[in-house]
Amino acid sequence: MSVTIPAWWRPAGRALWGAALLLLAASLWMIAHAPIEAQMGIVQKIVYIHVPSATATLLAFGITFAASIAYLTTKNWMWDAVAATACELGLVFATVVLVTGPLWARSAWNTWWTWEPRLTSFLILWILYAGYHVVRASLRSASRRTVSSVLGIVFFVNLPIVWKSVEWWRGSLHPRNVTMTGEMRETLLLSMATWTVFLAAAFVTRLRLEWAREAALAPVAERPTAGAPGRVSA
Amino acid sequence: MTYAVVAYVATAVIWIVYFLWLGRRIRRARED
Repeated sequence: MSVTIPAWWRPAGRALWGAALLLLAASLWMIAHAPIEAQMGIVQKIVYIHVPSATATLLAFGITFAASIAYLTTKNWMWDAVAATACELGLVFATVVLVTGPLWARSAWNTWWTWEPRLTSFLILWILYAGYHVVRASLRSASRRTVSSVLGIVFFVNLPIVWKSVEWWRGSLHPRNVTMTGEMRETLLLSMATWTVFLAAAFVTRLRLEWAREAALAPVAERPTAGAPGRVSA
Repeated sequence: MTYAVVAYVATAVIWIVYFLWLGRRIRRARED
């Protein structure tokens, strides 16, 4: 596959970023004006960033899983680039989840952290996917893509465990479902839409790094020329 | 109140730091 960025990539990226920033502004406005929960007070508003970040994490790692299978099937470098890109963004979202969760837990459970099933399995998820990047960065040989793809598939096993942990293990403190109605539900749904579009926009930007790296590795004749519509540029 | 503000500020900081790092890596890859 060509190492030249398609001409439509940059306008698509700009459109996605425009949509993401508009949604982010609307989402913040909704969060500021959403009703304050009776028991927890304003701390409950952490949910509007914690839950969408968690769903974006699962979505990103799901993309890594699918793209890893596609790479092993086709051996097309682009699928490996998609897998690595989604995995990196998933890890950032997972970091947000691990930072915002304890802030909510301190108010809800009177503790920053507890080794209950959802929290423990999510921390393991973070460690596994951080390991994906450590292994990937340590390999320079041709096997790097194959090894990364295998890890992207194997680590996915932990995702259903995270998802179902609140049902499979008794004594889980973590809420099973976030049940909201009215304005609070609308705010949460808008936040989820916002962070999904944000993931798409960040994905488009991050993939340019893989393109730039691939262009640097490609033979000189295949490199995009300066000034060409699809050149790798900021 | 404080925890909610910390959560939102921390999220913003995480993403800003990430995109600064990403921008640096893209620039470096283009120079190679």
